[in-house]
Amino acid sequence: MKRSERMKAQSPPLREHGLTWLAIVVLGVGFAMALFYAETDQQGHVQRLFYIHMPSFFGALLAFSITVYASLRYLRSRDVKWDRLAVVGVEVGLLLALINLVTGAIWARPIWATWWNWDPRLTWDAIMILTYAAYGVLRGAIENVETRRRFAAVYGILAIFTAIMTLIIIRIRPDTMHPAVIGPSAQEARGSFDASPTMQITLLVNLLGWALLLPIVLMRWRYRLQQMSERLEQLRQQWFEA
Amino acid sequence: MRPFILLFLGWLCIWPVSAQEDADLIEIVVAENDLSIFHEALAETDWGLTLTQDGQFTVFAPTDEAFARAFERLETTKEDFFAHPDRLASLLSFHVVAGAMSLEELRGETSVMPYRRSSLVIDRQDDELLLNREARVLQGDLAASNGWLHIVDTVLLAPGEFAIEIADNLSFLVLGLAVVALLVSGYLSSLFWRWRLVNREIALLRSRIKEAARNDQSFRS
Repeated sequence: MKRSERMKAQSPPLREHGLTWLAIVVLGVGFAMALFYAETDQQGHVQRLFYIHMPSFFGALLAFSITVYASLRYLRSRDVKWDRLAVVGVEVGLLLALINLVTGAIWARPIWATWWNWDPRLTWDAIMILTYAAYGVLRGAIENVETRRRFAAVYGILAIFTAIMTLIIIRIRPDTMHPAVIGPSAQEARGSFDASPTMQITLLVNLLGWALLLPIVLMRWRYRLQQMSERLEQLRQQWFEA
Repeated sequence: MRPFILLFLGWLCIWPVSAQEDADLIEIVVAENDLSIFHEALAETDWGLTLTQDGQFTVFAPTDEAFARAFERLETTKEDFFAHPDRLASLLSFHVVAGAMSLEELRGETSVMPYRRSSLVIDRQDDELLLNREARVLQGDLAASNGWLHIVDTVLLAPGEFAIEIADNLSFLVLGLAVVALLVSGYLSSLFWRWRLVNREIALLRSRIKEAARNDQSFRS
């Protein structure tokens, strides 16, 4: 096979590139809108971090939900492709959850006068991130491939509880400082704002980018990489056997 | 006779405290030399009257020096700040908590809710109390007939006031965007390098396997 043909065979299909470019355009437009189009309230420019902070959490939630779906499918079918998808979901979800955490901490410094406190929402967010980080540790700790996949699937399903708790805790606990974007905030919430029409449109565009397109695109690329890594493993075995 | 003298001396010892407890919170503020701006601020708003009345309050009183620093921080002057009674009343309502709480009682709390509905975080640092992460109690437990007064070294700024201070400050936004860019580019470059590495190794192994097969075939033939 010629080099050009081999490259063509290895390169991902056109729609994958199309989706990637769409994500880049939407994220770029969303970023420009957050900086130049949306108004800010009395919080000042730091409030613009919200357009990354909130959508990235929903992006993480989407990725973790895909892990749950893939884990369930794996437990039913024992098909490796579902296990692969579950791993990818955790990795991409973890990246987005970290972005959510860091942007929240930087926003909190001027608005709450602290980088971090043990508010119920923040505490659950930390628990969620540590739980999903432990997913990777768990996989690395089990040698038997079948057992590893089965345990990881069960863990991936149970771990979604922490993400759901992070999402709903501000509706359960009245003592949270974290403001709610949809619906009324808790009485002690600090840093709430009324979303003007420009803010709402900007949020929608960024939700499309960060909460839908970016996780899907990253997961697709990461999935292909996972496939290639497994192919490499097979080739290694073939080589050693030969 | 001796017990009477001892009793009289004992009464003399507690007399200043009992006399002070007859004074209301405003009278205690007036008696302190270093609280003149706080007193002026109270007098400009309804708090001046409220804190003379019955009821139980806990008041955190910033010193004159603390006010001077706060005006500098908010890029304003005392005259300008006092020209807006609503804002002044709002600031003061962050310094008054319903119910009388001594320092000992405050030590047992992680936050209290002042009249302005925004919680006031309490931390303990080396036996000292730290309010709102920055204000230290200089002199606490001044007892009044209607509550406790604690003198603090910093004006307590609620998030709203603090936000005004940083309204034109881009640094936090820039920091946030830089960290996001770092995380995303770090992840993407790790994907890219892993991709390249795996691709290269696959190509290498394939060619080796093919070569081995060819060698094997030629050996057999």
